[in-house]
Amino acid sequence: MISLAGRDILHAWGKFAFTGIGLGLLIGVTLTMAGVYRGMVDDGKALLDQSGADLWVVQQDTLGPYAEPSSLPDDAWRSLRLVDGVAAAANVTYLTMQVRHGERDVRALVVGIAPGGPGTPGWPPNLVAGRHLTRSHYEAVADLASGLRLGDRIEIRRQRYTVVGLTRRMVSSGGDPMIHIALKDAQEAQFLKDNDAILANRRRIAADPALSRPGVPGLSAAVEAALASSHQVNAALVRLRAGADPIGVAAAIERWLRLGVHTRTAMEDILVGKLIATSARQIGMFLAILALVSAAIVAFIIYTLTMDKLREIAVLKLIGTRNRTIAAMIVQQAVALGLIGFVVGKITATWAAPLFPKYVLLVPADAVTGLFAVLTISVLASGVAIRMALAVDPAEAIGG
Amino acid sequence: MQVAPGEVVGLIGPSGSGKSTLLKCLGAVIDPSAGRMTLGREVIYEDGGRVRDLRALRRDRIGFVFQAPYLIPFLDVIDNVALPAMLAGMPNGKARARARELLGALDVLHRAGAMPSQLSGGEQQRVAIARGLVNRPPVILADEPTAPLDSERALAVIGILETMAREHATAIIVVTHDEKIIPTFGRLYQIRDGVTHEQRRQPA
Repeated sequence: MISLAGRDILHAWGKFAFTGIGLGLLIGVTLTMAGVYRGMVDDGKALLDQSGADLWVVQQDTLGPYAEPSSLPDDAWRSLRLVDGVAAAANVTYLTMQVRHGERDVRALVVGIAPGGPGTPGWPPNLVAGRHLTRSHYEAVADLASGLRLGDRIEIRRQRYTVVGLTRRMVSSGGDPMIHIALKDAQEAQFLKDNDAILANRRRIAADPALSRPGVPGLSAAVEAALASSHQVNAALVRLRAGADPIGVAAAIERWLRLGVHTRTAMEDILVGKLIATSARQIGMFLAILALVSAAIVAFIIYTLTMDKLREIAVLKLIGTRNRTIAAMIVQQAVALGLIGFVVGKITATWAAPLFPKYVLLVPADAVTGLFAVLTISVLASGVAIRMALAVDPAEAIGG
Repeated sequence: MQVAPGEVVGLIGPSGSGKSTLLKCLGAVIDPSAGRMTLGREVIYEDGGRVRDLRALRRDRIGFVFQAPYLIPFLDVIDNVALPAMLAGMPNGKARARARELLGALDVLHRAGAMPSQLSGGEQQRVAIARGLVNRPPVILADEPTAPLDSERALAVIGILETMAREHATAIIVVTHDEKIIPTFGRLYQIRDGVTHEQRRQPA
């Protein structure tokens, strides 16, 4: 038996091709939206992977340092290194800000990393160009997504930095590129007040009789120094010894050092389950709407194609074609339309993904799920047309 | 009303007299409200009862030729003709061979690879006749088969039907309004006030 659906598609290939391309663009948007969500999750995981930490030690009762503000003393890391099971501990600061580069701004996550070297928690594990930070001030390692190049001069708060190294896929959970600078510089950038504020503080201290006592000459200077300098960081990153139990070590730190601790699993839950949960729901709504629109388009097209063939369907029934043969013809056409749409959509999404400003991750599993969804939608959408075709009376082929 | 194998009879009557309804009953498309209908020795309808599989009956034992050819626009000529045989379970190659044979007999074999839209009205009608004959049914029902044709072509189509009836022992019933072909029938049934009246005459 010949394929009636195949012959009809070949006969009206232009109609099928153009409809398939239109549907494909819609499917392409759907796949890209799924890719945007995957990219957000992957950005979050990359952030955790690249940090080189097994535990994140933060201010008590906070979900910091990525989801909530967190502040802890910058000498806490010394105590952390003494906890059984801890191999390394290092301070880190995070500050999302506009970094000036010439005439333009770059939205970036500025990361302050403790002195050390590659392998120290918080340090970028790999560079694609240049070198790591070697000086204690005014050098930066930037991610490629920032658009910065080696030797570029950037401005963070009042200081200028030179880009000496470049990384790839080191971004915040929001997709902003990371710029690593020395911890002291980052603390200044985050906590140091501007000159006017320092002067105002000096005046306030000088005017306060409790802080400017004649019998204690160094008191006001000490208070000024304490206010002007910062000994806070956002978190301490901890790497465990091989075989150490993260939950046990986290419990020990919480109990004895009275700090908050998040394991890798907990941190993933915070990033994926809390930080990007609303975005995920938003994208989920988009996907649901796009799936409905795709189904409506396939249903409408198949319905109109079937409407155009009612007389032929009556003739086919009159000459003895089984209902299931006619139904199969309609389903095959819907599936063919869905397949054309999927292929066009996949190509469109693959082509468009790198053009997006933030990371779009097209996962093969999503493509397979998308394919099955498209085929299911196509089959379901052909239901209306099949119902109409089966209701055609073969008598309509005979005049009168 | 009785039609013998190899015979071509005409069925005429004014508009609304029930010609098409009778044709639909004969074609096992609708059920008659009363009466008895047999095909060979098999009873198709009798007092509200009927054979179970009307679709198979239509496919295997009744051929249809319509006022308009109603060819399937997305199949070429050869497959339009072969389709009923394929639907009856005949292998594609054999069905196409039989279609070629019929197209040759109807002088349209040279258009076997063409699409219906590329054929003239007369060619389309001959292809439709070939489709009606491909399963070698014992009965062919033709609904105004010459309506869209000029006199010469209309008479040619009736000639083809008569030849096919003779060669394949097929009973053919032609519903028509066409004055130019009415004289060609040896036997004519006229429907008047819901009753068929037989007229025997010497074919022209």
